[in-house]
Amino acid sequence: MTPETTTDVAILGLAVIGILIAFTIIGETLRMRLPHGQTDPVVEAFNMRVHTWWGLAILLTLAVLLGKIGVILLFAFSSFAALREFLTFARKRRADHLSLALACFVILPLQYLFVWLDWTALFTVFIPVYAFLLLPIVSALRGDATNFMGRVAETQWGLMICVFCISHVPALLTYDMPDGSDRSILLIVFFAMVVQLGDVFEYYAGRRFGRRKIAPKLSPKTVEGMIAGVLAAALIGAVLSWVTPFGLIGAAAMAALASLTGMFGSLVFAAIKRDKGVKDWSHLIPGQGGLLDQLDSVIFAAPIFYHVTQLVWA
Amino acid sequence: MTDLASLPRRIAARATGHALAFVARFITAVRADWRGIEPVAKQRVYYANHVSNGDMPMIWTVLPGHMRRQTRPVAAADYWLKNKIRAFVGPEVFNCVLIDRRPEVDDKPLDKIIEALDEGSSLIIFPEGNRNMTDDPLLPFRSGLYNMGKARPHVDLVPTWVANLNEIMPKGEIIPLPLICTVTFGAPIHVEEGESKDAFLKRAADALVALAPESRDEIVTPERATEPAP
Repeated sequence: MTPETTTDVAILGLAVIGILIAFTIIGETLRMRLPHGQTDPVVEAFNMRVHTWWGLAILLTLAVLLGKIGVILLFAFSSFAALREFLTFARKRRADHLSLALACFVILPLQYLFVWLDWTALFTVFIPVYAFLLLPIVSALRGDATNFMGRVAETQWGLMICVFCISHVPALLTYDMPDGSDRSILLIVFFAMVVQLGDVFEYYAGRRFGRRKIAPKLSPKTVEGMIAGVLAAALIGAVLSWVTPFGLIGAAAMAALASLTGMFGSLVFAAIKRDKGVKDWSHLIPGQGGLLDQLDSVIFAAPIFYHVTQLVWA
Repeated sequence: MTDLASLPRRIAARATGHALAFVARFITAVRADWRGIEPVAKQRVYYANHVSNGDMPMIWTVLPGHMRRQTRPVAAADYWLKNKIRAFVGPEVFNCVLIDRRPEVDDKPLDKIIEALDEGSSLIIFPEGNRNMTDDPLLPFRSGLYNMGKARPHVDLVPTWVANLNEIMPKGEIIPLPLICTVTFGAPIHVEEGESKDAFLKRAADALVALAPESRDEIVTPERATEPAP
């Protein structure tokens, strides 16, 4: 990385630390204002989340400072952990053992290798075309037709969600900045910040002012909360526009788009979890369930953000 | 002198143990659910369901260090002494109590188990005797659990359910699938005064099956929509 890029990474890192310190102070103040010996579950949950955000922020900062290899490894391991959670609840039979093992130990590393090698023509089609056709063949060769469509479909969903979509976050590294600089790594930080902060505003604004639920049977998300979240994301995007090639309006629009797709992604995940009858995907992250619970919005937003960036600002 | 000479071997055994636990965590993110007991180093017999050769390492992995040190899996000698690597891993890494299953050997397995209990060790046993390849949750228990419970009534018998391993590593497959595994420890049971063998074994099996997660296809969708915060 050039010194300018490193400086900008450091500035963003400090900004994140500033936000987290503010959240930590808010959480601790709320806790102290309670009478001695009492606890408020909402406050405790908030404090627990702030702890997790500290951990995630430190991880992402370290990965970004390591550069390309750090970011790719971080997201490859995230994909692995996400796929591990998804497949635990996916429909599968003994006959799928080999195709699922291939998905985890061959397809996943190859996808990240292609991202690393910058083979755009391959990593954008590798899973939706090649894995899509290969894995059902491997399953079918074992000759078990029970529930075949369901098994193949759920496996394919797992790969798309956990590997294809997540790999589009580090794929932003392959974007050539219009000014020829190596600042595309900052787009990852921009993307992660607007999606996460949009979610936070959506959640707490929805709790406070939310009236109309968008899908009452699935999720407590409200229209008011989502509007507040998208507006907050747009505002944060505008503030951070100096790290992007989008310009002020463009950055706000991209942030709003990422945040909105992320929120709908989270809704889709709520539907999947309801279907499978699970509350949390796993217990990987204390207080927040599994990695998929944490990444659900990032997953849906990443490919859209990547492709719109490539289309509009190529 | 012998202690000093065996030191590198013991270090190698410890290192291998940590490496195995790391692999188990990497593949399955294995987690303990202490539902009926506290994670304290009390003398116990953990009796578990057995569907895969990975069961014992999973239980061993989730035991915290202070418990792991005093816990010995009871395992078949013919399996663990088959080659040099197994003979190192079984007796030295896992510190197994090896049981000779050959019918011609006049070696009473229960004696070795009682001996290990009297040394103060906790044990991991698989009372079904064999890996369960059927669709039933458990095979009928052998009498070993009853006999040790009767011989040493003060020892807690802890039902221990290992979930998902039949999908992670089914018999005949070489590559384990990365899926989440949970080891659930239930409330301890004891052989009651005057309880018959069959009655006790049924009670023990019921206590173990009760820890199994419900089959996912039958889960009733919960009433309230919940959403984790971002």
